[in-house]
Amino acid sequence: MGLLAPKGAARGLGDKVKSLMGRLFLGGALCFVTHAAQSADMPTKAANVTEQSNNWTLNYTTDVRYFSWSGTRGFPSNSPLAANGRGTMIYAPMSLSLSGNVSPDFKLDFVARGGYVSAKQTTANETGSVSTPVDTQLSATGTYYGFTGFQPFLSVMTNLPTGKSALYGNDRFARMDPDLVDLQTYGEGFNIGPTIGVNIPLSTSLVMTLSAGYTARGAFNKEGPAIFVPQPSQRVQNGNESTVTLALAYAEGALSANGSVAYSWDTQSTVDGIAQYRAGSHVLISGGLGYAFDSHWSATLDGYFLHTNRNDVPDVTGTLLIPEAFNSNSNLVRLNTGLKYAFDNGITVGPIASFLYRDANAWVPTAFAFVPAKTRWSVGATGGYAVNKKLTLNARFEHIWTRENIHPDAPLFPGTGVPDMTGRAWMISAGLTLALN
Amino acid sequence: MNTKLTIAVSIAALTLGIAPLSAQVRCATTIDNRCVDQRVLNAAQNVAIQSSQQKISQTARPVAPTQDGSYTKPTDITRFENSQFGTGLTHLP
Repeated sequence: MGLLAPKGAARGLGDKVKSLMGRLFLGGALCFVTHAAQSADMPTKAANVTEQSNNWTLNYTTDVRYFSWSGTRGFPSNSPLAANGRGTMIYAPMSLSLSGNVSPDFKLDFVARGGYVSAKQTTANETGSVSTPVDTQLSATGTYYGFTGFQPFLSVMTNLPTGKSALYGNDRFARMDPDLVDLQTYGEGFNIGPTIGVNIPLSTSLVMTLSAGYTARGAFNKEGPAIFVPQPSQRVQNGNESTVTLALAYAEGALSANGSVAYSWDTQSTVDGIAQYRAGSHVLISGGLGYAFDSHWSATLDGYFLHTNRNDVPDVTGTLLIPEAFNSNSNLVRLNTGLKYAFDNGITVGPIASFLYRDANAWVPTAFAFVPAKTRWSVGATGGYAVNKKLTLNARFEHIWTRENIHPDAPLFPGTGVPDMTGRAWMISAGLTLALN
Repeated sequence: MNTKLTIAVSIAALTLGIAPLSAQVRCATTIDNRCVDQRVLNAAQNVAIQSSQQKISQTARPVAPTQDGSYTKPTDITRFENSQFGTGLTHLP
């Protein structure tokens, strides 16, 4: 702060009020600001301070996505009513992001995200639809740059229950295969997730980040079985999750890369206060590569691998959770790639493709069967146009194919299996990013 | 609710944007006091934060929609919870 307001400089009441607002905004990070005031006069650090005309950036981003799909089976695929299915979804997410420094040493980042969705599925003469705002996500991150060699940060994310978690009657059919559309659910409870971590620059172009997060997930209502009239509600309490993460990022010349490894473990999940399961601990490995061949051509490749260990499930008495006999969680691999050509007039275009695979080795305890492998392919194109320094337009379209192998009959219940299934979808989207300052 | 949030964030942003509390910023430094590429630091930090909050929402991550493809898809992480075999039992007729 000393670098901002030299000692003895005259400051009006308005400036003092605004400065006070900023300090209040910092909240628990006050100790960092205090340290900043103490260390700002250190001559060795002055070389690492840069001037900026306006250090707050505010961006508004939105797009509208339209999905249209059809398949040899509706969703959920093993519903007794399921037959050929088709559906549509219009999803319009939007976000406001604000970033800036309240002192030379302290940076704040805020994001608010929400949106609206309208979805409809038809299968076996049953039609379900929903139109609702989706849940709202807020995040705030404070990063302290006053230390030499490491930068601690604190982040808090929330999910506000502005969407619709319970879909009564036939509306429940509006939930569709998330491999064909963007959203599987339209709301849940209030979640809050603090993360604490530290960035450790290993060189000017290689940074390692260590972090630990906890996600406290609030209860919410979901519709009960539709066979009861009136249809009851159920109180769902998903398990809380703890995660530790190691991340690396690198950029030098035309090459940029990042990767992370995260390990998570959960508490038990309940419905109406009765323990249902405890999700197995899982490992998430993610990474991305980007390379600029020249000033026009560039390419990206990113993806992740997810492995989940065995869940805990109720024992025969239904009172205790014990490890399941076989792992009911699939391994998952997702890869995305794209090639981009940037014209001199601000237009960028290029093809994109993605691949998803769930392995065949997942055990479903309620069906006493292994669920089959599933693959998802998509091919499309993306484009953008920088109208000026503040406005960028973008568009994307994709064609999606899914294939799921045969579901076997449940033991002693012939005819309960499902033949192999295929699905196809189109997705088109258009959006913009607007710099508001 | 979304409209109210948008207004609230806009007011906060305008307040801060009109009167930036700091026109100077310090770069992140290595242990030998060299400035780090801010894009690299942002990338590592954002990946770490998002990976540490995989279940913050089943709908979307708190990122710009254009960044949805940069992180894990929420439905890949919470798929079991929303299957018939998790608490999504209510999907069944």
